[in-house]
Amino acid sequence: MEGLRNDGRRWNELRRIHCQLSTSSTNADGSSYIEQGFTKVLCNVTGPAEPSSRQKVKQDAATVTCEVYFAAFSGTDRIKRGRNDKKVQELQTAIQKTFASVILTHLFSRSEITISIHILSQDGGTLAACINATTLALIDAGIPLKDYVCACTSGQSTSIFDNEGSTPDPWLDVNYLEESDIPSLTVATVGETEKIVALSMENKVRIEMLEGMIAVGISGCAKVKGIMDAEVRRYGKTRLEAATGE
Amino acid sequence: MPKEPEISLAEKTFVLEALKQNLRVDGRNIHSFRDIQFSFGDDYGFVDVRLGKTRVLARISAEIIRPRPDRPFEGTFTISTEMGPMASPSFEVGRPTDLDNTLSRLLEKSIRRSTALDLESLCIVTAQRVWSLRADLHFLSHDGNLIDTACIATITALAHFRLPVVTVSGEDITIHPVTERVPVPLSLLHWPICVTFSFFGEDDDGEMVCVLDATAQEEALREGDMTVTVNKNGEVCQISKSGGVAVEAETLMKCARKAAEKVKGIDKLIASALRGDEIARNKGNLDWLKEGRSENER
Amino acid sequence: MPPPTPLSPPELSYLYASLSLSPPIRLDLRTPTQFRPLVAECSFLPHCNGSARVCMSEAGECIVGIKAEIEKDATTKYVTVIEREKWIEVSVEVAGGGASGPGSGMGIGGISGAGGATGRDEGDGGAAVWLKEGLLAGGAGGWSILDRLVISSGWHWKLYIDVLLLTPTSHPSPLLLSTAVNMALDSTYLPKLTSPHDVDDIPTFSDDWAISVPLYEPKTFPRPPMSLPVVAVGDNVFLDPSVAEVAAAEAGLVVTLSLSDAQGNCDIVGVRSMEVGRGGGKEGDRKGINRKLLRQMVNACVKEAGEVIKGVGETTHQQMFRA
Repeated sequence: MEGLRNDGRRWNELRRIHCQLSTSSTNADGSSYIEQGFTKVLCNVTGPAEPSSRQKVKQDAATVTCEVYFAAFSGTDRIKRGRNDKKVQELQTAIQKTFASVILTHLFSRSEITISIHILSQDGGTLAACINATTLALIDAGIPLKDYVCACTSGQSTSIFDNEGSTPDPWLDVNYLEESDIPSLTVATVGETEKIVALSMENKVRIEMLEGMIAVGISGCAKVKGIMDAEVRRYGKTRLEAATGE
Repeated sequence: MPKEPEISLAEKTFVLEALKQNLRVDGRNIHSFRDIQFSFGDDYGFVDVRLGKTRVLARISAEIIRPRPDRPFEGTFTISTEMGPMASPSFEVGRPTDLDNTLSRLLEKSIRRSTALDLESLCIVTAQRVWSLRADLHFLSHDGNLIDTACIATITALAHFRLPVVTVSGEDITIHPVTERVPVPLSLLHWPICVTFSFFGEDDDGEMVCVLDATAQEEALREGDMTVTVNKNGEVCQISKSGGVAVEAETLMKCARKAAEKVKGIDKLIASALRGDEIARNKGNLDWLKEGRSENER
Repeated sequence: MPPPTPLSPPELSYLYASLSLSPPIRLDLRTPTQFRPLVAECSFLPHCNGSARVCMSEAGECIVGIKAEIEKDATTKYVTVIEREKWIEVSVEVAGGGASGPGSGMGIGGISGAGGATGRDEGDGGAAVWLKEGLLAGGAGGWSILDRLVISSGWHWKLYIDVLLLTPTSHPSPLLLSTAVNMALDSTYLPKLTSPHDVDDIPTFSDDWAISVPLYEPKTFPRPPMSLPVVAVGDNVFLDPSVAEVAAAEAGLVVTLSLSDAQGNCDIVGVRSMEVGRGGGKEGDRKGINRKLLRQMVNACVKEAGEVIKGVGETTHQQMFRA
């Protein structure tokens, strides 16, 4: 069919997003769970708390630590990843750096905020889902942030041309099959400012296509923010009603 | 692990105020690289790149191994980076810092994942013997912008390296020494070059200050950074911006275009340095040229 | 190592006294054979042959994913028992997910179960070992789950059972783990074989999940096992003990059972002793378990377990992606 991708979406449609706050029954200060299509990510946040090691003590700001666990059953093949796996470390550094600049760390000097992410199922957009889950978990934990950090992916199909022979629109929110096929990037914006706090692209793409991909990614981030904000408000309302008994 | 000494408040204020007026401490333009100097060793594949005071050494070595079972047509290429105290007292051998991980990640994405090197050309006998290349990077001095320097060093070393000629006859593989047959250059599909931008907040005109090729002092004071890897054909091989100050998409695009422009210049520099080395090698030794022919006897 | 408790000696002694009364009074006013409510869902992971998620209030959350990969038999002629047992690999990963105790700050537990079959790791309390043992135990008439993993001559399924524990206590609860594994196994489907059974080549399968084969055939027995912890205080026996009750108990067992028929009768597949706090008493107070109490504990499990396991099974079947 014309103009539809392999899962029936149009170029600017997001996958189904389902998110929840405070999912964890453990003692984590904040937790969240997000599903973007079939990508499922769980996030727990602890802190601010005493740093686990002396080296992590910073005199004027909190240290942000991130740990990412890929479940062995998360991909199509069963792969058990160790702590030193490159992909794991990459994700950890990216998330840690992104949130170290968005959390108001100067309010909690000499303490540590730990973000612990479990990836239960991978179907494309893993980094984006992790960033979104972390934002929600931080909000649930009550840790002050500058604003929401919402992330989304976009891809540029280079082999399919439309009727006029020009390149088609970039695809929003690529899934695993699309990710392995076409170049894609992940972009994360802060709140509604459309300013980019994180950008990651690992494929080759012509520089002319870049602007389009980033623009589509940013519009996707705005949509994601709307969905996340609605869930946060809904959850907040339920908690408020439960507390005040109305 | 000894930490870098903290920058004093006076220094910090001076540098940042100057940048707001688009002035840099060493007098450069905010968009210009330091002078890049190349120095080649006697062996092929050995190059020492200097970007101001930052110095990185790259060495390429090759050996013949059995290929991976799931990829019988391809050779292998690995990049090894290890930072030691020689570069800076805050680096410790065996304890990779964030910079270490970031650097090896970026080099991996820029050079290996973008298939700068054609791995299929490294195959000698399918499923049995392939070349395994290894790039070892040594960081001799750190004055900022190790990433760009390391990438330039690796690409130059790869372009400089010569692989010995191998002939296969039935089951036997003969590696010809350099005196018998002229070694052949590697098959590089393109030259990806990293360009790192450092962000310093807004200047007097309200625009984000984006500085190219930051020195160590500027790196310590920056609010954010982004590394774009481009080749001279205008293809962006990777982009990485993790955290740091949030930047407008427009500014990022401007940076990407600037990077593409700069890379064309750097590409020419590398090419001319390689040509210069080639001429220096062949000077006064034309007999060697006559000896090393790859034609067969007729 | 008994689970650490934040209870003080007077609290422990109060609890001990309350539990040894006749009839006993549990802190949460449950009857001695009543189980606590749990939240469970299954078949929610798209890449897994079977999956389940169980949350219990105190024990935390547990997610199990089961993946099956085809593997060639080690030798085509005769496969030894030891080699067949390698067809199932259980791995337990414990992640603190939050503060696990006072002063520990981060509490991100180590990844354990790396030597799943050997259970060398302390972190998971040897969970991987006893989970696998429970599975391998045979049923009536020499039935074994390993027979279900045979595909064709020379090929079999290798089953990877990966357990992810997000638990606040340092000691993983056997009930939580085994319920999750039970549900995951119950909802596991394997693709249907399309190539002939007795041919040696790589088997091929149908892409149609509607005709896939369940690992445990519905309405056949035995069903996947489940481990129930039980403790004794004085002359009283309690099922599904809370962490506080385990600290005050004198003896504890974990009984692994599997449903053997539709009426709810269970076979005992394994019995392990469980470390209990013995009410914080001194070394000299430890008397060991007397035989009558032991029989009582096991019988309590067997009597009540049937209903519990049947209930869990029904929940699983309601939630599975196909009937």
